[in-house]
Order: sequence, then C-alpha cells, then structure tokens
Amino acid sequence: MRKIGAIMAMVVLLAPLVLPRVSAQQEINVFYQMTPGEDAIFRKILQQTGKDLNIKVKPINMDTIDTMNKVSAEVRAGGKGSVNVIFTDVTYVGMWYKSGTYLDLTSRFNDWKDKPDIFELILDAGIIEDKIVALPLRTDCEVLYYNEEMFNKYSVPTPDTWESWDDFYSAAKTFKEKTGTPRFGMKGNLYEGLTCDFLSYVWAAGGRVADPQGNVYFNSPETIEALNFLRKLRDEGLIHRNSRIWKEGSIVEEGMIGNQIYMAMDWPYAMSMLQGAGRTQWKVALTPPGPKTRATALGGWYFVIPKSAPNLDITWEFVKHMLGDKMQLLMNEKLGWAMANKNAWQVDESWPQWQKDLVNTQREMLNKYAMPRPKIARWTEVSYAIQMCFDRVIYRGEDIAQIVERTAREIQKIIEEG
Amino acid sequence: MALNLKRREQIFGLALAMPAVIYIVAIMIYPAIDLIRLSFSSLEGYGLSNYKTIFADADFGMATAYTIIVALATVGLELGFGFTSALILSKDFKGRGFMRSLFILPWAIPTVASAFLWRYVFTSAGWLNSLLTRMGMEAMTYWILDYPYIPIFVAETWKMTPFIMLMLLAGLQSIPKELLESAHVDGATTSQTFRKITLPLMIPVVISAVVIRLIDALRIFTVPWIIMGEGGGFPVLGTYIVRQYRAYLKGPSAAAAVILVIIVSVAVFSLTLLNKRVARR
Repeated sequence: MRKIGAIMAMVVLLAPLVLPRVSAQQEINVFYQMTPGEDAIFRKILQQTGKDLNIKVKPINMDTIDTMNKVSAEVRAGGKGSVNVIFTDVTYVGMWYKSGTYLDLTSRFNDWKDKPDIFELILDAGIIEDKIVALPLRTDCEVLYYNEEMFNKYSVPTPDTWESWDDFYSAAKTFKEKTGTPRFGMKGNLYEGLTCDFLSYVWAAGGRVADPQGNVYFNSPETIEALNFLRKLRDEGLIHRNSRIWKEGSIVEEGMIGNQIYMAMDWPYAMSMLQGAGRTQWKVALTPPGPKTRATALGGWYFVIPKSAPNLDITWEFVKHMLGDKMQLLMNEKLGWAMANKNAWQVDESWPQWQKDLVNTQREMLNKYAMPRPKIARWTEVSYAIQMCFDRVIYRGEDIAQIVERTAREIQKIIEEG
Repeated sequence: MALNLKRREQIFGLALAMPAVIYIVAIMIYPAIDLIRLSFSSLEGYGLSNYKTIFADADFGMATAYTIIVALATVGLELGFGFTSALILSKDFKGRGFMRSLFILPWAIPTVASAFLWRYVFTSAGWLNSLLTRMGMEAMTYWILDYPYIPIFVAETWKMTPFIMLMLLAGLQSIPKELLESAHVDGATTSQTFRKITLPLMIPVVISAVVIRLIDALRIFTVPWIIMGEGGGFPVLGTYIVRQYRAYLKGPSAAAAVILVIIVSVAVFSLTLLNKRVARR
C-alpha cells in the first residue's frame, strides 16, 4: 500500500515536469498586435489552422515592441524560448533585421516545393541583404476615399476624373468656398500613418527617402515640391484642422462618419467602418495623380520566426499552411484583406459592390503605384524624423528648404550609425 | 551561546525577509537602475548624449512646462472642488449617501473611457459645440486644437476630484465634534470655526492628498494621449516618453523618464518638508 502511495506521489510530483514537454510539441505561440475587431476574426482563422495541422495554436495579442523585447531576452538567454511566430507590420522588418533575433528563412523558402505565387513587391520588402527576414501574410495600401453624394451636390469632379494635383486642389478649394469649411482631411497626428500620407505626396512628385546603399535623397526638389503643395493647401485653409489630431480610426469616425470631411486617403479598413455606420455614399478611387505619378505606401503583415523558436518544423508548417491557398482565401473572404498569395486576390461575384470596388482599386494601386518604405534598419527613427519635418513645415510654418535639409541630415546620421 | 542564538535569530530573520527583499530588488530597484543605465547609453557607449538630445529638443521643454502647468492647475482645481464637496457632504442631510455615491462615480469610470467621453464633448463636431450652436451662440469650433488645456483640465479634474474629496471627507470626519461644539458654545461664527479649527486640523490631510495627487498628476498620460494622440501641439512628459519609445529612441525616452522621476521626487520632497514644518507648528 505504501509502495503504491509512493509511486502515485512520484507521478504527481513529476507530472508538471513531463507534461509541458509533451504539450510543447503540440502547441505554438503566435504573437501579433491587432484591433479587437480583427483579433476576434483572426483567432478563428488561427483555430482553423490548428485544426488542419492537428496542433494547438495559442494567439497572443501584444504590443509589437514588447514582443521584440521579449524575443531579444529569450535569444540572449540561449536555448528555446516561448515565441514561435510573430505577425509584424512591414514597418518593423528593418528592426527585426537589425536585432539579429530572426531566423533566416531563405533556405526553407527556396526548398519549399509548390510554393505559392507571392506578390513580388511585398515579398521583396521582407528581404534584406539577400536574407528573408520575414515572409508576408498579407498586403495592402492606401486609397482615396470620397463622399460621392457631396461631390455631386457641390458639382465637384470626382477623383476618378482628376488628371493632376491641380484638380485635387480645385476640389478642395471648391468645397471650402461652397461649404465654408475645409473638407479634405489627413491622418496628421505624429505617427507612422502620417509618414505614409506624407510620403505619398513625396513619391507622387518623384521624390524618395533613400536608396538601398544608404544614400539619402530626401532633400530633393521633389520633396520640396510636395511640401510646397501641402503648405499651399494648409495656408489656404483647405486641410481640415482636426487632421492634426486624427489618425487611423478617428479620421473615419470623426471626419468621414461625422461628415466633417468629404475626401481623405486611408487604408482598406475604413470602408468596413463606413459601411458599418451606414455611410454608403463613400466611394474609393486611386490616390491623386502628382507631377510624376500616383503613389501610395505599401503596407503589409509578415511572419517572423525568432531564432529561439521552439518546435521549428511545426512552426514552419504553420507558416506554409497560412500562406497556402486555402487559408489565404479564407482570410480574404473573412477579413477582406489583400493577401500575399496572389491566388487569393479574388473578387467574389456575391460580394457587395463597395467591396468589389475596394478590392479592384486596391489591386490597381498595388500593381502600379505602391511604394515600399526604404529598407532602413532603424526605420522607426527615420519615420520620426519625417513626421517632425511635416510637423515643422505644416503645423509650425517653418522654412521648407531649411527643414528638408535638416531632416535629410538626421536621416543620413541614423543610416550611418546603422 | 547567547550570541550564537542571537546570530541564529538574525539569520532566520534575514531568511524570512529575503523573499520580500528579492521582490523589491527585482521589481523596483533593478528596473530603476536599468532605466538610469539606459538613459546614459547610446551607440557610442555611455555618456550624456541622450540628455543633450532631449534638452536640445524644443518639444521636451514644451512637454516639461505643460506637465508642470497641468499638474499644478488640476491639483489646485481638484483641491478647491474636492474641499467644497467634502464640506457639503460632511453635513447631515437627506440623501447624503446617494449624493456621496454620485460624487464618487467619475473616479470609478476607467480613465480611457472618461478621456474618450471628454474628447467627444470637446471635438469640433462634439457635444459642446452643438449645444452652443443650439443656444444660438457662435460655436468655438476647435477646443482641442486652440485651447487644449481646457479639455485636459476638465477631464482630469472631473475624474480625480472625488479622490481628493474622499480623503478630505475622511479628514473632516476625524475632527472631534467636541471642539466644534465648544467653539459654537463660545459664540464662534461658522467662518471663524472653519478658519480657526477646521482648516488648521485639515492641513496635514490636505498635504497628504496633494502629495499623492501631485505624483499622479505629474505622470499624466492617458487623458492627453486619448484627446491629442501623439502630437496635437500639447505634449506632456508622459506622452513625450511614449512617443520617443515608439520611435525606438529608447535612450532619449529613458532620459526623459529619469527627468520626470526627478521632477516628481523634488515635488514630493518639498511637500514632505512643508508637512513636517506644519506639524512642528
């Protein structure tokens, strides 16, 4: 009796040591940062992936920077950590590269037979110095939203007829004259969204930030041309003043749904919010044509596998499955995302017209006009400098040429310091 | 033998205290030291470069000034409103319990929710402007952009006045009734009773309440973050630190955090000294 008792006690005592090892082989921890609405749907997608692969997928919605710090600590500690996969925004790819905590996926990707047809631009944005730092899950870009009803009411030509920034300026001016209020809004709060909005104008004027060799071109006549245009809009009171406090979400909620503005550039999520609020008069168009081209910032989400990831084979199977046609089509359908896998760029005939228009417009922007942010390891710092450039020129009215020069020097310094 | 026993007791005592010591070192002391270390570290090694960077940044100066202004103004307003409401609610009247619950309500609402509520009030298409327009007045359109301190003062004061009120109410109730009754019997007016008895006895409680609130107010973050976002022309140190951190400017962010700790420490130290002087009198 005592022996049986002793054996049972041993089993109870040793179980916690053995069980996690058994379950660790069947579980992967997936980290990402998402809004509650997207998170709820994404969890179901992950559950489905888990079922398909007969593994347990544990979703953890957490701030990206915090996840990076966690991974850094786990890699420094050596051995296996607790993070299998991180879904990360394109903005952070450079930082992952610089941190050196990522697993280079080049050989695994090259050895992958029957690999899907991935959108080249978004695939390339995850490759730094011939190493696949991150593989894309989905892509997107900004489009121009406009309130068709108001364009018709005030007899303003709709954006699909615009041929230059002059048409864009005329539309903004007409709205101001006829309604007494600026009706063009920007995501002008100091964050990454402003960088994307602002750079769209720089790119449309033919400018750029830097090349892959680290040469800075921000202090070019094209940047000055873009800033001159934006400054003209600002000086004539054509940019809605609340732009300074607007960012993703608030520009839609307060500006578009709140009927304060009639046109603004934003990401695809805005259309779901508008439709949800019954604002069906909002349509999408290509971004305004600038002196050289139209332009929009390439957005996207990537898989990063840290060096310290446990269960690497299962983790890689998970990534492959998420990039496969089945899951990509499911995400396209459920979340309305433009996926990395081009086979999932489908327009379902059963979709409402607004969804078809959004997907088609976005597809055209992605194929012809999307611009990736430069591959700079310390991109967030460069982005900060670009936002401050906008802040100083547009909000504080400082000298354009001086500020552009100063910003270029700041960017150069960040790049040189590596 | 006696010495051995004493030493053994000391060791035993130390062993008992060890978990708490480890906890304090790991959770409080190590992060604080690491923050200071980070504030002096940069790509070139250790030095003052992060401090030089933030001191050269006009936004940091603006953030520091706004933080101090917001803290002093809101704590002052909260003290005024809190004391008045505590005096009212310390009296006996019908429905006092209900009124106390009602006064405490803003404090119970999560700060994020209350900040959004005030953003909806003060935004250009918000409730305040629509009320003013309905009253036939010309609407002050851009409250948040043109008068950013008003929504922040209002949101912060509305939220935290109940906290001060509760502390002062507890203080008022601890004043011996005999003192007030004897003053009344001696013919003191209400005003005299308040100035000569209530106020002097309340000063230590007031200072304690102000110290606690000032620490909190200097670390203000959520309300300006929700109302202004990451820019908006009204930075405070809390939002400045987070903005730098999100741009991955960890060193300057840590340096600004250290400066904030110093400001809070100076404020607390000064008020504690003041409290001691008052107590001595």
